[in-house]
Amino acid sequence: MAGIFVSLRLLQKLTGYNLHNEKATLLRIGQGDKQAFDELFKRYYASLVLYGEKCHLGREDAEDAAMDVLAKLWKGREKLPAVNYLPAYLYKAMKNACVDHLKKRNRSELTEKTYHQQGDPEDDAFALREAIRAEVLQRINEDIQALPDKYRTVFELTYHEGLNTAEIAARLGISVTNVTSRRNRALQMLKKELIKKDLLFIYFLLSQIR
Amino acid sequence: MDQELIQISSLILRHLEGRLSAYDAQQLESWKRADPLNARLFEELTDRAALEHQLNRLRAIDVHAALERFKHANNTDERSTPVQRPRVLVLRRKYWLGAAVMLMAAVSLFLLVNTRRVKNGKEQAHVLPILPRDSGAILTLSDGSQVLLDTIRDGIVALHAHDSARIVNGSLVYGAGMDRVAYNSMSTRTGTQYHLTLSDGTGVWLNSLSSIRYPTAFKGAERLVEISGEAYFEVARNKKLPFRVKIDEQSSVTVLGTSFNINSYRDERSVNTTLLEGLVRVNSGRDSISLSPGEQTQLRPSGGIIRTVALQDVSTVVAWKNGLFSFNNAGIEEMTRELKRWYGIDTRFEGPVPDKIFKGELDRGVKLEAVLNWFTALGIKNRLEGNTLIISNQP
Repeated sequence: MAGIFVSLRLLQKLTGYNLHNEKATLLRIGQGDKQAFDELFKRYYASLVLYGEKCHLGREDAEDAAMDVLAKLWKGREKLPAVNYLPAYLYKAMKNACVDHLKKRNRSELTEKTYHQQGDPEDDAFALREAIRAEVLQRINEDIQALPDKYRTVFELTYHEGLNTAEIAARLGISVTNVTSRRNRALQMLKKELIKKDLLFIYFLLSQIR
Repeated sequence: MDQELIQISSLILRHLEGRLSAYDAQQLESWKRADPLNARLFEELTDRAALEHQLNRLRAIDVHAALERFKHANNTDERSTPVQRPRVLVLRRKYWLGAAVMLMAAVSLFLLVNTRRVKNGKEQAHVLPILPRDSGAILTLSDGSQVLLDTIRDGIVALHAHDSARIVNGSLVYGAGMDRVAYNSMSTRTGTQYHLTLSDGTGVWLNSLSSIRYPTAFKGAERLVEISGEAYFEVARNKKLPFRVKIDEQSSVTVLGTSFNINSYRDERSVNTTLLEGLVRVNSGRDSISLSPGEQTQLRPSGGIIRTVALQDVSTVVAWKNGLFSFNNAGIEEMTRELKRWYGIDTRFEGPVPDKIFKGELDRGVKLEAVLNWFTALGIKNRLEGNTLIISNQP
């Protein structure tokens, strides 16, 4: 019975309150609940693709590999309720899928060089690092996604498209003051939400930008 | 991968939140040192520009389009109602039967979510929500007056003469430079714990049903405090002024600058001192021993050393100060002793004590009801009569 020592607090930290749902979701999927599976798909698809890209698959191959992993998961859904820690389970499956994909290619000199410089996908330490990366990023992204639409749009235009206040006002057809107030409101909400979730990080990120 | 993936991701997130404890920071540091590539990943996840770049890559992935393609390819398009199956039976078969050791966290998670769905019958019908209180303590000043520190998050406590202590973020802090030496004591009730900083900068975490007596300023040849129950110390280094913790007339622990935990609850079989960092000397009756980090010495309540063991994982011992119950191959008696102290209940066994072993951690913020539901799911019959938890194991 190795590897069963799991900290609830750590699990919560890592995946927030969604993890409470995760076990329930697995049970539902195990019973063939497709909606529950969709939830899981949305939670993990992007981070699995990101992981695949880090394994030197192109975006397209990475998407294929992620699809394969999730399709297998759905086919073997009967076994899901016994899965203890889903993220680790999924990244391990993704690791194997990536290695398979890479084996189909001929390992040219180029890939040898890439492996040497950027890490070998078959290496466990490499796999762990990339799983950590994907999880941390996914977790941060979820908090941004949780903002109400009208605030999130302003937030995204500001921080992801790099637009200034006037440009955003023009794009959304609202006043400059309105943009500023929405942005401040978004910051406040994030702070509150994040304090609630024990995740002040986004606020930290935002307060530096401000 | 499981454990490290959880641990390291959470350490990185906590680092970003600026809420790493000294112990966490050490763990993170040793992970970074283990491999230059770990250190690089850490940089990439904590540098703002790098982080934004990666977040943008993640967000560029069109999950919804992918889901549509997936549904098309795997024929999962139409919605279906899940077949209802008895959940508790599923749990027992999958998680419990045939396994002496059990993943506590995952199941309790499931139960926390599903408490309403678990059919407990009459057994659970009148369980009241017994909630742990969070942090809080009673401070007794040198003149015998008492201050309840339950809800005060920030403030000033007048001590005597012109001296005062501050409450910062729910923790009591004694500054240096007190006018005169007076003795204060702090005690916690069930379901509460408290952190205080002594005038020399030593940090003390006091577990529930515990107390500590200490001077408001340290004068003389040593820094002497007295405790009962359980406390964790991070002693400020001062070689000239040894720090001594008196447990009772027979036993004390002397330190120079170090982190350690003392569990001296009277309902435990032994008084356990566990060293995390530095060096301590434990004196009890005629026995005396120096501990190295990771070691625990167990004393007879009447004085004298029973034995000293090297622990594989000291984090279990101090998990309480991070708001967790932590069990490492614990029997149900050990577990109920913890519940007793935290929820302020009594416990009684009917019939033989169930032969179960627990391993794992549980947030101390959960309701007693959730823990009991979890027991029920594991086949441990229990009921609450007034304030007494009865574990029944009659055929």
